[in-house]
Amino acid sequence: MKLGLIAICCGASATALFAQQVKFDLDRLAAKASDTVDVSLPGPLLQLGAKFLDPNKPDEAAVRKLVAGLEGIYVRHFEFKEDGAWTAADLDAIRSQLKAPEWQRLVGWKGEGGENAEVYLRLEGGKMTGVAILDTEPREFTAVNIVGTVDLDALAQLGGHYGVPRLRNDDSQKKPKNDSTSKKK
Amino acid sequence: MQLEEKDWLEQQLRAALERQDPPEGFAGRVADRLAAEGPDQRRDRGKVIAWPSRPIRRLLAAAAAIVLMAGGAAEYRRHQGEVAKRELMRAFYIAGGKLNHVQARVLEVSQ
Repeated sequence: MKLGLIAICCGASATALFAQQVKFDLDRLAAKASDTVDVSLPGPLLQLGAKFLDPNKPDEAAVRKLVAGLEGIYVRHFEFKEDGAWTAADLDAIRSQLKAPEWQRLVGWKGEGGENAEVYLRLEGGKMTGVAILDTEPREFTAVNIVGTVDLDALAQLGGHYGVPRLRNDDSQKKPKNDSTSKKK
Repeated sequence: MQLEEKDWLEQQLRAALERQDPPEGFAGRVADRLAAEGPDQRRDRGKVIAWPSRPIRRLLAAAAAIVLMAGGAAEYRRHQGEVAKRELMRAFYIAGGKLNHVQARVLEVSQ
Protein backbone atom coordinates (compact mmCIF):
# COMPACT_ATOMS: atom_id res chain seq x y z
CA MET A 1 0.00 0.00 0.00
CA LYS A 2 2.75 2.40 1.08
CA LEU A 3 4.82 1.43 -1.93
CA GLY A 4 1.83 2.10 -4.14
CA LEU A 5 1.40 5.56 -2.67
CA ILE A 6 5.09 6.31 -3.09
CA ALA A 7 4.89 5.15 -6.73
CA ILE A 8 1.85 7.37 -7.35
CA CYS A 9 3.60 10.36 -5.74
CA CYS A 10 6.75 9.76 -7.81
CA GLY A 11 4.66 9.47 -10.97
CA ALA A 12 2.77 12.65 -10.16
CA SER A 13 5.94 14.61 -9.44
CA ALA A 14 7.57 13.32 -12.64
CA THR A 15 4.49 14.37 -14.59
CA ALA A 16 4.58 17.79 -12.96
CA LEU A 17 8.28 18.11 -13.77
CA PHE A 18 7.70 17.62 -17.49
CA ALA A 19 4.34 19.35 -17.58
CA GLN A 20 3.55 22.21 -19.87
CA GLN A 21 3.62 25.46 -17.88
CA VAL A 22 1.22 27.39 -20.08
CA LYS A 23 -2.05 25.94 -21.29
CA PHE A 24 -2.82 26.62 -24.94
CA ASP A 25 -6.54 26.34 -25.46
CA LEU A 26 -6.52 27.25 -29.14
CA ASP A 27 -8.72 24.66 -30.83
CA ARG A 28 -10.92 27.47 -32.12
CA LEU A 29 -7.96 28.85 -34.10
CA ALA A 30 -6.94 25.43 -35.37
CA ALA A 31 -10.35 25.09 -37.02
CA LYS A 32 -9.86 28.35 -38.92
CA ALA A 33 -6.18 28.03 -39.80
CA SER A 34 -4.90 27.24 -43.26
CA ASP A 35 -1.66 25.91 -41.78
CA THR A 36 -1.13 24.57 -38.29
CA VAL A 37 1.92 23.40 -36.37
CA ASP A 38 1.21 21.64 -33.10
CA VAL A 39 4.28 20.27 -31.34
CA SER A 40 4.13 18.85 -27.83
CA LEU A 41 7.36 17.27 -26.69
CA PRO A 42 7.54 16.42 -22.99
CA GLY A 43 10.92 15.50 -21.43
CA PRO A 44 11.18 11.82 -22.37
CA LEU A 45 10.24 12.42 -26.02
CA LEU A 46 12.54 15.43 -26.13
CA GLN A 47 15.47 13.34 -24.93
CA LEU A 48 14.57 10.52 -27.30
CA GLY A 49 14.50 12.93 -30.26
CA ALA A 50 17.80 14.45 -29.12
CA LYS A 51 19.48 11.05 -29.34
CA PHE A 52 18.76 10.99 -33.07
CA LEU A 53 20.27 14.43 -33.76
CA ASP A 54 23.38 14.32 -35.88
CA PRO A 55 26.27 16.16 -34.16
CA ASN A 56 27.94 16.65 -37.56
CA LYS A 57 25.12 18.83 -38.86
CA PRO A 58 25.47 22.36 -37.49
CA ASP A 59 21.75 22.98 -36.89
CA GLU A 60 21.19 19.62 -35.25
CA ALA A 61 24.32 20.03 -33.12
CA ALA A 62 23.02 23.44 -31.95
CA VAL A 63 19.64 21.97 -31.04
CA ARG A 64 21.36 19.13 -29.21
CA LYS A 65 23.15 21.67 -27.00
CA LEU A 66 19.92 23.54 -26.32
CA VAL A 67 17.99 20.41 -25.41
CA ALA A 68 20.43 19.52 -22.63
CA GLY A 69 18.73 21.77 -20.07
CA LEU A 70 15.16 21.26 -21.18
CA GLU A 71 12.22 19.31 -19.85
CA GLY A 72 9.70 20.03 -22.57
CA ILE A 73 8.82 22.19 -25.56
CA TYR A 74 5.32 23.05 -26.73
CA VAL A 75 4.56 25.03 -29.89
CA ARG A 76 1.30 26.16 -31.48
CA HIS A 77 1.63 28.03 -34.74
CA PHE A 78 -1.31 29.00 -36.95
CA GLU A 79 -1.40 30.71 -40.32
CA PHE A 80 -4.61 32.11 -41.77
CA LYS A 81 -5.73 33.14 -45.22
CA GLU A 82 -7.58 36.19 -43.92
CA ASP A 83 -7.05 38.89 -41.32
CA GLY A 84 -9.02 38.84 -38.07
CA ALA A 85 -9.06 35.08 -37.60
CA TRP A 86 -7.63 35.43 -34.12
CA THR A 87 -8.78 37.94 -31.52
CA ALA A 88 -7.27 39.74 -28.55
CA ALA A 89 -9.19 37.30 -26.33
CA ASP A 90 -7.08 34.41 -27.70
CA LEU A 91 -3.94 36.28 -26.77
CA ASP A 92 -5.30 37.34 -23.38
CA ALA A 93 -6.22 33.75 -22.50
CA ILE A 94 -2.52 32.90 -22.65
CA ARG A 95 -1.27 36.18 -21.22
CA SER A 96 -3.46 35.76 -18.14
CA GLN A 97 -1.43 32.68 -17.20
CA LEU A 98 1.87 34.51 -17.45
CA LYS A 99 1.60 36.38 -14.18
CA ALA A 100 4.12 37.47 -11.57
CA PRO A 101 5.75 36.31 -9.39
CA GLU A 102 6.56 33.17 -11.43
CA TRP A 103 6.54 34.87 -14.80
CA GLN A 104 8.41 38.04 -15.74
CA ARG A 105 7.99 39.76 -19.05
CA LEU A 106 11.43 40.07 -20.60
CA VAL A 107 10.35 42.03 -23.64
CA GLY A 108 7.18 43.18 -25.30
CA TRP A 109 6.52 44.85 -28.63
CA LYS A 110 3.28 45.95 -30.21
CA GLY A 111 2.93 47.01 -33.81
CA GLU A 112 0.12 48.09 -36.05
CA GLY A 113 -2.65 45.82 -37.23
CA GLY A 114 -2.36 43.17 -34.56
CA GLU A 115 1.38 42.68 -34.67
CA ASN A 116 2.55 41.71 -31.25
CA ALA A 117 5.63 40.04 -29.79
CA GLU A 118 6.29 39.15 -26.17
CA VAL A 119 8.85 37.04 -24.34
CA TYR A 120 8.29 35.90 -20.76
CA LEU A 121 10.69 34.14 -18.41
CA ARG A 122 9.65 31.84 -15.60
CA LEU A 123 11.93 32.24 -12.62
CA GLU A 124 12.04 29.98 -9.56
CA GLY A 125 14.57 30.76 -6.85
CA GLY A 126 16.38 33.07 -9.23
CA LYS A 127 16.76 30.28 -11.78
CA MET A 128 15.13 30.26 -15.19
CA THR A 129 12.73 27.34 -15.41
CA GLY A 130 10.76 28.29 -18.48
CA VAL A 131 10.21 30.62 -21.41
CA ALA A 132 7.02 31.68 -23.13
CA ILE A 133 7.00 33.39 -26.51
CA LEU A 134 3.91 35.00 -28.04
CA ASP A 135 4.18 36.32 -31.54
CA THR A 136 1.26 37.47 -33.65
CA GLU A 137 0.77 39.04 -37.03
CA PRO A 138 -2.53 39.78 -38.77
CA ARG A 139 -2.50 36.32 -40.33
CA GLU A 140 -0.29 34.45 -37.90
CA PHE A 141 -0.53 33.36 -34.30
CA THR A 142 2.33 31.64 -32.50
CA ALA A 143 2.63 30.55 -28.88
CA VAL A 144 5.66 28.72 -27.50
CA ASN A 145 6.38 27.31 -24.06
CA ILE A 146 9.85 25.98 -23.38
CA VAL A 147 10.12 24.17 -20.03
CA GLY A 148 13.57 24.27 -18.45
CA THR A 149 16.66 26.37 -18.91
CA VAL A 150 17.52 27.57 -22.38
CA ASP A 151 20.17 29.83 -23.85
CA LEU A 152 18.03 32.51 -25.51
CA ASP A 153 20.85 33.89 -27.64
CA ALA A 154 21.64 30.45 -29.02
CA LEU A 155 17.96 29.86 -29.65
CA ALA A 156 17.57 33.17 -31.48
CA GLN A 157 20.66 32.40 -33.56
CA LEU A 158 19.14 29.09 -34.55
CA GLY A 159 16.02 30.94 -35.65
CA GLY A 160 18.18 33.34 -37.65
CA HIS A 161 19.64 30.43 -39.58
CA TYR A 162 16.22 29.26 -40.60
CA GLY A 163 14.34 31.61 -42.86
CA VAL A 164 14.02 34.49 -40.42
CA PRO A 165 16.71 37.11 -41.13
CA ARG A 166 19.50 37.32 -38.58
CA LEU A 167 20.05 40.64 -36.87
CA ARG A 168 22.49 42.74 -38.75
CA ASN A 169 25.13 43.96 -36.31
CA ASP A 170 26.85 42.53 -33.25
CA ASP A 171 24.66 44.55 -30.89
CA SER A 172 21.73 42.70 -32.30
CA GLN A 173 22.80 39.53 -30.52
CA LYS A 174 22.53 41.18 -27.11
CA LYS A 175 19.40 40.36 -25.21
CA PRO A 176 16.95 43.22 -24.90
CA LYS A 177 16.79 44.76 -21.48
CA ASN A 178 14.31 43.38 -19.02
CA ASP A 179 10.72 44.49 -19.46
CA SER A 180 11.53 46.89 -22.28
CA THR A 181 8.01 47.13 -23.56
CA SER A 182 7.83 49.42 -26.52
CA LYS A 183 5.41 50.43 -29.18
CA LYS A 184 6.24 50.90 -32.82
CA LYS A 185 5.69 54.41 -34.05
CA MET B 1 26.94 -55.82 -78.27
CA GLN B 2 28.43 -59.27 -78.71
CA LEU B 3 26.71 -62.44 -77.53
CA GLU B 4 29.32 -63.31 -74.91
CA GLU B 5 29.16 -59.92 -73.30
CA LYS B 6 25.36 -60.13 -73.14
CA ASP B 7 25.49 -63.46 -71.37
CA TRP B 8 27.97 -62.15 -68.89
CA LEU B 9 25.82 -59.15 -68.10
CA GLU B 10 22.74 -61.29 -67.64
CA GLN B 11 24.60 -63.53 -65.24
CA GLN B 12 25.77 -60.57 -63.21
CA LEU B 13 22.28 -59.09 -63.02
CA ARG B 14 20.75 -62.42 -62.04
CA ALA B 15 23.32 -62.83 -59.26
CA ALA B 16 22.73 -59.32 -57.98
CA LEU B 17 18.94 -59.60 -57.99
CA GLU B 18 18.81 -63.11 -56.62
CA ARG B 19 16.40 -63.45 -53.69
CA GLN B 20 18.14 -63.82 -50.38
CA ASP B 21 16.50 -64.74 -47.13
CA PRO B 22 17.11 -62.41 -44.16
CA PRO B 23 19.52 -63.53 -41.49
CA GLU B 24 18.05 -65.64 -38.75
CA GLY B 25 16.14 -63.63 -36.07
CA PHE B 26 15.90 -60.49 -38.22
CA ALA B 27 12.11 -60.14 -37.88
CA GLY B 28 12.33 -60.57 -34.09
CA ARG B 29 15.02 -57.89 -33.79
CA VAL B 30 12.96 -55.41 -35.83
CA ALA B 31 9.89 -56.08 -33.68
CA ASP B 32 11.91 -55.58 -30.47
CA ARG B 33 13.36 -52.29 -31.73
CA LEU B 34 9.95 -50.96 -32.70
CA ALA B 35 8.58 -51.84 -29.31
CA ALA B 36 11.47 -49.97 -27.62
CA GLU B 37 10.98 -46.73 -29.69
CA GLY B 38 8.62 -43.93 -28.61
CA PRO B 39 5.97 -42.52 -30.98
CA ASP B 40 8.06 -39.38 -31.72
CA GLN B 41 11.13 -41.43 -32.67
CA ARG B 42 8.97 -43.72 -34.82
CA ARG B 43 7.53 -40.71 -36.65
CA ASP B 44 10.93 -39.12 -37.19
CA ARG B 45 12.59 -42.29 -38.48
CA GLY B 46 13.58 -42.04 -42.09
CA LYS B 47 13.71 -38.23 -42.20
CA VAL B 48 16.94 -36.66 -43.36
CA ILE B 49 16.76 -33.97 -40.65
CA ALA B 50 14.95 -35.08 -37.55
CA TRP B 51 12.11 -32.75 -36.47
CA PRO B 52 12.89 -31.60 -32.92
CA SER B 53 10.81 -32.91 -30.08
CA ARG B 54 7.79 -30.93 -28.80
CA PRO B 55 9.52 -29.18 -25.80
CA ILE B 56 12.38 -28.09 -28.05
CA ARG B 57 9.92 -26.88 -30.69
CA ARG B 58 8.15 -24.83 -28.03
CA LEU B 59 11.44 -23.36 -26.87
CA LEU B 60 12.42 -22.51 -30.44
CA ALA B 61 9.02 -20.90 -31.06
CA ALA B 62 9.32 -18.84 -27.86
CA ALA B 63 12.87 -17.76 -28.80
CA ALA B 64 11.72 -16.77 -32.30
CA ALA B 65 8.82 -14.81 -30.84
CA ILE B 66 11.16 -12.99 -28.43
CA VAL B 67 13.60 -12.14 -31.23
CA LEU B 68 10.74 -10.86 -33.42
CA MET B 69 9.27 -8.81 -30.58
CA ALA B 70 12.67 -7.34 -29.66
CA GLY B 71 13.32 -6.47 -33.31
CA GLY B 72 9.88 -4.92 -33.67
CA ALA B 73 10.27 -2.93 -30.47
CA ALA B 74 13.68 -1.63 -31.55
CA GLU B 75 12.29 -0.63 -34.95
CA TYR B 76 9.29 1.10 -33.33
CA ARG B 77 11.63 2.93 -30.92
CA ARG B 78 13.80 4.08 -33.85
CA HIS B 79 10.75 5.31 -35.72
CA GLN B 80 9.52 7.15 -32.62
CA GLY B 81 12.95 8.72 -32.23
CA GLU B 82 13.02 9.93 -35.83
CA VAL B 83 9.55 11.44 -35.48
CA ALA B 84 10.54 13.10 -32.18
CA LYS B 85 13.68 14.49 -33.83
CA ARG B 86 11.69 16.02 -36.70
CA GLU B 87 9.23 17.58 -34.26
CA LEU B 88 12.09 18.81 -32.09
CA MET B 89 13.81 20.53 -35.00
CA ARG B 90 10.53 22.09 -36.12
CA ALA B 91 9.76 23.34 -32.60
CA PHE B 92 13.21 24.89 -32.23
CA TYR B 93 13.13 26.51 -35.65
CA ILE B 94 9.79 28.13 -34.89
CA ALA B 95 10.76 29.14 -31.34
CA GLY B 96 14.14 30.42 -32.48
CA GLY B 97 12.67 32.22 -35.47
CA LYS B 98 10.08 33.96 -33.33
CA LEU B 99 12.62 34.93 -30.69
CA ASN B 100 14.88 36.30 -33.39
CA HIS B 101 11.89 38.20 -34.78
CA VAL B 102 11.15 39.72 -31.35
CA GLN B 103 14.79 40.75 -30.93
CA ALA B 104 14.80 42.35 -34.37
CA ARG B 105 11.61 44.30 -33.63
CA VAL B 106 12.88 45.58 -30.30
CA LEU B 107 16.20 46.52 -31.84
CA GLU B 108 14.41 48.41 -34.60
CA VAL B 109 12.54 50.46 -32.04
CA SER B 110 15.51 51.09 -29.77
CA GLN B 111 17.69 52.40 -32.64
